Amino acid sequence: MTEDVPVTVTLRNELPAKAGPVSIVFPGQKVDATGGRNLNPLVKEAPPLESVETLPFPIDTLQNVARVTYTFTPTEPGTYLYRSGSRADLQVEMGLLGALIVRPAKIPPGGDIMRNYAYNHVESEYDREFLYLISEMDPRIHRQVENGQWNQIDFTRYFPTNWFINGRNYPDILADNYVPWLPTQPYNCQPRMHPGEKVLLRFIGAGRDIHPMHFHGNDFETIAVDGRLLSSAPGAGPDLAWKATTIKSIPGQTADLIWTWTGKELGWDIYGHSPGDPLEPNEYAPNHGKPFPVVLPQRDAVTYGPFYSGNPFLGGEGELPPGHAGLNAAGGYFYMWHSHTEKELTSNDIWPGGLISFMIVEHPDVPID
Amino acid sequence: MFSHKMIKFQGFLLFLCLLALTGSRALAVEYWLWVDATHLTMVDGSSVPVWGFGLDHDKNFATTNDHQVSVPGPTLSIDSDDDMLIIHLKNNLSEPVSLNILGQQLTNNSGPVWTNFPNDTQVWTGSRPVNNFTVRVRSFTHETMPGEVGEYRWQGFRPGTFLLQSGTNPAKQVQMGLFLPVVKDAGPKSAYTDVPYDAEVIMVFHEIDPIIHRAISAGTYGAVPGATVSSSVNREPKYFLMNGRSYPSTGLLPINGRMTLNAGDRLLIRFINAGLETHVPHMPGGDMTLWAEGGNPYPYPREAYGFELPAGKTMDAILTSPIDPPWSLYLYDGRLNLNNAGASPGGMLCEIRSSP
Repeated sequence: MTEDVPVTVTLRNELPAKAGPVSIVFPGQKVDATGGRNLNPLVKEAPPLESVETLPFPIDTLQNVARVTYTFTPTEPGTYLYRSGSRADLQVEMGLLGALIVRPAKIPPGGDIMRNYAYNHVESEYDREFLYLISEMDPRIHRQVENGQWNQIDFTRYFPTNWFINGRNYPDILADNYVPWLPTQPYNCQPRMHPGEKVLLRFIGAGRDIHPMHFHGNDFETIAVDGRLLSSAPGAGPDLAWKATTIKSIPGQTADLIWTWTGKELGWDIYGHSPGDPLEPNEYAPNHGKPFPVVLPQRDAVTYGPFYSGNPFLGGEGELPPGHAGLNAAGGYFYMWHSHTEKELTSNDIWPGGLISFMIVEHPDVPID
Repeated sequence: MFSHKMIKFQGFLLFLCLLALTGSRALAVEYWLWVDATHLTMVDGSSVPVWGFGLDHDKNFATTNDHQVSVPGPTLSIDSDDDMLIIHLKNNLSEPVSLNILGQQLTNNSGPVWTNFPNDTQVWTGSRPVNNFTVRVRSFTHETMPGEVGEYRWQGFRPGTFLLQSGTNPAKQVQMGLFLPVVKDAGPKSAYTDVPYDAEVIMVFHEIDPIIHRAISAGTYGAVPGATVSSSVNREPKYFLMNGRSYPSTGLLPINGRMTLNAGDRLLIRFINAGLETHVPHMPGGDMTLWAEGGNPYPYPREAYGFELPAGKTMDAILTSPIDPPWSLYLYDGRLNLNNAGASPGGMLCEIRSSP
């Protein structure tokens, strides 16, 4: 959605009657609600359609009661969350959560119409953006719901064994968006970039636990929290941003991170250039032509990981041993971005899984979307 | 206000000088606190043994039935011109207790207190006994023995929102309820310099695992013969409380009573996590400004609708009344601890209301 443009969200509840009423809270937004029922102090709710017909109201009232309409005008650009406000422990666990992105209405002062900005300031500029919506799952609760054992659900015994980015676990996280074999998990989290680009990572703690999300390859800069640029004064830009390698994903909180990579600190030329070769776009010039510092062993003297291209240089290729997975045909650099609560790198006790994705830095000649 | 002004004897000459120069008032505030066992009735009707602090109304501990302990304990306020806090502590439990305010230095601390583990029969105070590498610290500060009265003094008390906890076996005594808020304003209706407010509310978060409470109450907790619960390593809270209550208790709906906040009025919310788990106070529909953490003002305030509140942390937030009354906003734990012993709805959910 766009800053200052009113939004209407209409909610109909087609869950089984025993699931109870459903609602949405939009943290950070001033919401008006009409229709639905007023039984939950926190938010207006849509009762289950199955139960509406039994309510002692005339038919035109019933139509109004059966749905709830939320209207709000997002006045501040940024990254937000929405999730259920009705029996929220259970309904959020069951999946009633999502991301809300508010884009600036205008190019910020001094901005370029061809560029992207997350907030109303030029220092929120980015080339590519990726969503990191984090949640957990305790499958025992989902089975209790499936089996109708509503009275056995007890969140004081909550013990998650599955962890999700954008609704998927590793390695499904890396598959394309909308692949047919994941019909209810349409969104991936596969960040890719060319060297020197600025990547915006929109982090949302949608579940109930804290996750230390850790970035290999470079520090990131946290420029905003809860949809507010970290500014010392209005218009000052993200001058209170902080750098780190790990960010806590906090339930109900959002954070916007800027990450970039040029290979600056490697001290060798990532393209394997000779000193007289032309520079690549955004190449870190002081490393230009500097030799690779290692004599590579022969192919069969070492074990190659599945993401090694067979060549140390960006965009390179090389001979791989028989049986190698060959998962890096374009010769990108893979940087693992993951939870550092390492047990969360599993799915139902199977490793690897859970909160893992990889940033792939690609050669400028490799097209990305 | 139950405080009583006292002139510190040692500072009497200094006091006279100050009186002559500035007309300054008293230098210290004194409280008389009982620590005792009681029961807390949960909103679902179950009763849980707890330990709590209560004020002695006679301020002399002479009568034994003029106090009522609570969880959390009573809020202790310190006037902005009071330099020193003095607490007289009467221990009605069957084990030693002590006091510790996170972020303030105890002036008359003769602790820590060391004991031989697990027998707990020999006690040393101050430094570790020479060449004894098996003793353990039982208490951060000097202890008050069962039936006795102890004194705790903090000089140079700085303004802010603070958490007082038991300093003795805190893993056990703090979760039993031995904690209370201590607040000192920088000036009249001003939490810190440049942080004025019109009204305030205190929110203390904590959790209860009734199995541990019952074992402690029965004397079957810890390294004791016949223990039913050996430690808190498997603690599994069943009740998630704000100011000792959980939804839908009266007292949370609303948490601030009948309060009139006109458009632009500033409500100071003093958040305190006295529990053992992290909570995330979350206010959909409200924008708070975070001004101070652990009694330390931020160089720059930050707007947020929620924030992380780990165990032991205090946070001062200002909620500016968006409109004239009536209005209400709900605040809950973003970690979704929204049940009472598994029954939904419940837990950490409260209402902040402005009534005409």
